[in-house]
Amino acid sequence: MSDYVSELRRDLVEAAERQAHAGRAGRVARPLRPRVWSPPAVAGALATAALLAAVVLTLTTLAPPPKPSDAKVVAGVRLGGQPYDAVLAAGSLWIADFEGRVARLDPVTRRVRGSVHVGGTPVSVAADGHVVWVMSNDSSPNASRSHLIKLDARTGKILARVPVNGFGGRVEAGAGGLWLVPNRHSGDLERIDPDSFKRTAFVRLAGHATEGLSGGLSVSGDSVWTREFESVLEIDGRSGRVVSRVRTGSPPLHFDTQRSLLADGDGVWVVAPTDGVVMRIERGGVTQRITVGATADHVARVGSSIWVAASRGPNAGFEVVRVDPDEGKVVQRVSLGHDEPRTLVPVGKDLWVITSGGEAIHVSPG
Amino acid sequence: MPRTDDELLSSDDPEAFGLFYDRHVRSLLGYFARRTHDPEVAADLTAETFAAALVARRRFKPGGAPAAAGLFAIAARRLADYQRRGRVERRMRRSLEMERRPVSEADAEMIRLLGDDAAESILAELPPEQRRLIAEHVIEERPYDELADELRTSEAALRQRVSRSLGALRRRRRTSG
Repeated sequence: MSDYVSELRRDLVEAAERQAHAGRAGRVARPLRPRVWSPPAVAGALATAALLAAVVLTLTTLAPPPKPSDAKVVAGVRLGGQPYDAVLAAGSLWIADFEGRVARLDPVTRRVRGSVHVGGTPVSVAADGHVVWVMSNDSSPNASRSHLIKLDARTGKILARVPVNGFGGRVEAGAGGLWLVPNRHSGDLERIDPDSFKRTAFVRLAGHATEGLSGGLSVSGDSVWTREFESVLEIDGRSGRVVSRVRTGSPPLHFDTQRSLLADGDGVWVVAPTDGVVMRIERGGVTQRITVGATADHVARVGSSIWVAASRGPNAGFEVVRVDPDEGKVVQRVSLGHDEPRTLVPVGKDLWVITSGGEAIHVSPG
Repeated sequence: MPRTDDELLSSDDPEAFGLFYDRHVRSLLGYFARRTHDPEVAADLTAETFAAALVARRRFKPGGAPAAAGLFAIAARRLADYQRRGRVERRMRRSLEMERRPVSEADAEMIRLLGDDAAESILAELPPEQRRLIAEHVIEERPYDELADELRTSEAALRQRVSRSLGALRRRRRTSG
């Protein structure tokens, strides 16, 4: 490697030695601005940094003020806990909660119809007909593995619990089986048979470059889409081969952006979180790039519209933004308040937003 | 089995931070180079980011936010600071008593390469030997001494060959750009 890189490495290792020595001697220099690298702190740091960086850009390039709309929040349902991901199955919303449960919400009556204790820390859910799959990381100290839990969405009963070697990430159903990120520290993908739980394909992605950053997995038809650092990859679900790799120029900085990819028959919608952009990838390239805010998170489709969770600046709160994919511009915005959206779930013509504050918000597009 | 980023960052072993650095330095240099179009600024921002990560690592909790995400959160903050102020802060390096390192022309070329979307296709046009040297040394990060051993040449001669290869790449970029 270059002289600069080698010398900087030497400087840092020496500084680490001084730091360790100072720590042992009880003379630890206080960090200038100590920070806790907990998920909320990093999420906040990401949001703040990106907002500051993007504020000028946002003021100058944001789409023109959207037309007045009838889209609005029609109800909020208190769930409690710390929701992380959600999916629609058998007419109910299944909401994974960091506290080891999956809550069941009836979107018609807007009532919580109980919850299933799955244990650990559920981080991802997927629907496959009447089955809900839950990836839950073991929460004991020094845990390094996860469990995949199969739920019957009609009865709420646990049908199976399968250990996964690694600290798991997303799970998605389709393209010949169940696709999962078995270890969020590698970003590799595997396909398993949903009945026998045997591995039927394994896709090795670039090693450490993706560590902790395997943000997003989406399946449509025979295609599986994922991110590998700054690139978006399309994988043939039958062969397990990478068939396209498109560089977006936007790293998936937001590690817990659950649904930053949304695949369909022709391509995929991709959220660039810290750029506040949703982009369209088709035919091996980026065909649209639409600024929705200073930051953006999750993406969902309701009817012919694309909805993206976004924020327009520091202290501006969060909103869901409706994008017309034909016009390539923002057409509606709905304010959500100050709880961070964790995921978006389309339910018929409506949209449900699950927030970090433990609320399910029902949005009617009007 | 290689240690995870979380394990490296939470370790008290100074060399563990070096390994963490090895894993991410190229990505970070490329990230900054693409956004600033200035190799010296990219190098400076990279140094300040790793220094901040080193300062903050005693607060790092394994199992929470992945270490790499934390690193890039710091990077985004440093980039925002630079864009606001027009200069790179040195607070973290000062707090660690770190000197500012000069960036040579060869370093700058390597950083441009890491941040250049078109570099891969231009690289493919180089003669095989030059392509291999750049790939192995700059992209695969193999040190001069190790590569010199393998190629049965001296380290000084290898440095010259890498420098010539980077020069060829630079000329082709100018031609193609």
